Amino acid sequence: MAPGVDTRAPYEQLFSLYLPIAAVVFVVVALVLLVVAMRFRARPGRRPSARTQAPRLELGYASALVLISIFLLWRSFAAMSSTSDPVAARVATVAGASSRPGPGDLAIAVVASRWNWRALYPGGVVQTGDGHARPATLVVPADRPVRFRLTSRDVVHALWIPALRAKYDAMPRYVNSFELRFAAGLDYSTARCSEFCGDFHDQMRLRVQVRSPQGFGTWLRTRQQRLRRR
Amino acid sequence: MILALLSTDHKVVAIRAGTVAALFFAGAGVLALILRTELAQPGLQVVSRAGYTELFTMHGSTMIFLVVIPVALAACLYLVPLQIGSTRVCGPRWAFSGQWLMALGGLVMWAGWLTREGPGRAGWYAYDPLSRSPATPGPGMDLWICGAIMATLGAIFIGACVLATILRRRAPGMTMLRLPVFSWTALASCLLVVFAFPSLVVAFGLLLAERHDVLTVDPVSYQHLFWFYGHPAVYVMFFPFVGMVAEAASTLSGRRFFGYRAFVLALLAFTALSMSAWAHHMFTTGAVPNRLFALTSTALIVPAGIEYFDVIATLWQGALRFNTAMLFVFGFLLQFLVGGLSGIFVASPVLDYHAQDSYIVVAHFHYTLFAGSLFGLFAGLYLYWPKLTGRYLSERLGRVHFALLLIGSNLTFLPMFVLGHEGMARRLADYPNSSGWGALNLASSVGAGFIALGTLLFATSVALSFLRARTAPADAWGTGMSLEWATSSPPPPQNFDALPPVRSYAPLYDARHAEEPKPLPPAPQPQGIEA
Repeated sequence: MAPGVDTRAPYEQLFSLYLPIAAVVFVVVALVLLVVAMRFRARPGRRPSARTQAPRLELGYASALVLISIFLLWRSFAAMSSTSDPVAARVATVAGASSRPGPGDLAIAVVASRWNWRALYPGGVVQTGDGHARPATLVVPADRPVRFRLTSRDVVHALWIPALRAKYDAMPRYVNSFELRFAAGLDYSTARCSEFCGDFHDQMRLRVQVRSPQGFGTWLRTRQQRLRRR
Repeated sequence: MILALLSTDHKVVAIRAGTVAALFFAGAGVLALILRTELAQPGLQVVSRAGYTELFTMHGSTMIFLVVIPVALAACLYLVPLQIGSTRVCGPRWAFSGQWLMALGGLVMWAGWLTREGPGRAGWYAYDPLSRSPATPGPGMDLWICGAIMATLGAIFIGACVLATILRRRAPGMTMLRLPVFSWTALASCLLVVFAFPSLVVAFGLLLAERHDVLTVDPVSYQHLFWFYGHPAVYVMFFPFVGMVAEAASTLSGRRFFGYRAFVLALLAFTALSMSAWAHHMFTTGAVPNRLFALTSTALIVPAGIEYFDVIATLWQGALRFNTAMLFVFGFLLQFLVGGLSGIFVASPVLDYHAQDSYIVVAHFHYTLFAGSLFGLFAGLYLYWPKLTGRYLSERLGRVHFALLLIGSNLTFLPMFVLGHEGMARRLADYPNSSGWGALNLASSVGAGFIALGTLLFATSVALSFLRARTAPADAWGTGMSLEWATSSPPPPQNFDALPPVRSYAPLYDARHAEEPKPLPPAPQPQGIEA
């Protein structure tokens, strides 16, 4: 798989590393507290220890914490290298976000507004919804990197596609660029705006339709031809 | 009564601040109950979308600006002079003004309910440009901004006052490295208040100017200004409660606090790091160096881990009295851990791209703030109630209170991790029936009911305590460590008539064990650190 595109696999790998570590830490602390509660209760004759430090133990423990931090950061940075970090750039107008794809590259401009999404494809093809009952449908090809240029026409929104474990902010006067790779067969039904944007925030959903690369090409060409004929 | 409202005695000011915060806590709690009732099932049954927006904004902003920060500072204001053996604070009229500014700021924020458009409704961080007048019109939002500025200025006044008191008014012998642990956490908090809180005043001042067409604010710059306040603020809502837990652990296990120097060093590192981690709230913007802020945020593991170690090591080999305060210490240690560990996840950008603005984050910060800090506060309240009032709180009711909160907070906040992971974004008035999130949301709403019951029970217990006689001696638990236990309960206006000698960070422990062979030579004082 080409580097710099996948989002779900790095997330899952990192998550399945962090979760057991967190679970072990929690269980260890819970067990220690259980021992404390059972063994060190006040009872006649029990004198609390007068010891107030254990410098070597403390230093060793602090070093272990430093090593754990370094390890987690190393894995986090590795995960970041195999995914696509968002890069925001200032633009003068929303038009600055419109897609200018490089050769062989697909770029989709996504413009958020209260409470709707507009996806702009090469050749002037636009996908949008009515902002309420019928959300916009984002049509994407499967298993190839798709470059996004995300912006907003009014307030800060965020495009969240839970199935891809990916979320990037859509801000006015900024274009946020990143790449995503869509796999067929995932559940994309919960894609939505995740940055609170006003009363109808909960309605600001997005449908994601993943087509085979050929099917996507056909769909885009058909839509482009229809536009040219008009 | 009038005298109590006008007094500049730090103890009276602190109790006033705490009482006002308790009233706002009740208000914010009612809002939370309405929110949870609405979310219990898919569909909009109880409130409108606009109403929901007002409710969650006012719940969050009330809890932060008017409850947890004021309570944290009230605790510092009450305890610090007693712990350092001072008869008064530096600048008592600043503390007085700060307390009333916070209270009036709260009234101004809540006055927004009286306007036609409603109160603040852009979320507690009021992101620009949502908080501008085209998207959020009306004077209610202006009142909300002004109230938050007032409350924050009040917090800065009190923070500066406590900071100056620690630096200038310590009793003879009370060097910096003999400050009790709680006072160190107060010092760290007040440093954050003084250096980070002005950033909110600037951010909200700009917002107000922008709403009245004076200038335009860049959305990313606003977020930087806001979170430069907003992240340190969460540590102001954490450190004093860790301090209370540390005092309760030490007092109720009869042990000097363990690893004092490591704790102090960790606390100072914590303070510095917490002021350099703010942009992890902005990982998804693409406008900040994510690796840098992942580094500073993940590095928080080290000081946090050391503080945990020292509190638990204090309990280890102690003689623990398992009263309600101790139960809350255990509750704090386990539940804050869930909040802290989930915080390590969201400090990693790739994990945060999923968690940001989802219920994962809602669960995370409620575990730190409610299941964590508030449990620490209750540990402190049960421990210090006899000091504040001369009366003990009922142990029997206390145990039920603890059980209700323990069940309630986990039932409310644990399902939120799952909901967030499955794709539920925060601040949704409604979710589709097809999402299958109904059952977990219902569980969460039932949990909120347990929390409400527990809180009512605590209020009853507080009321009942005033029917009892003042029986608490100066050292209410018999194993006090620091100077607050050397004066009567409640302390006289001048705090102390006489002070025991201060030769370590636990002078009362020294006095009790004076006849016995010295277990520990007094810690050597490094040059230059004694003020």
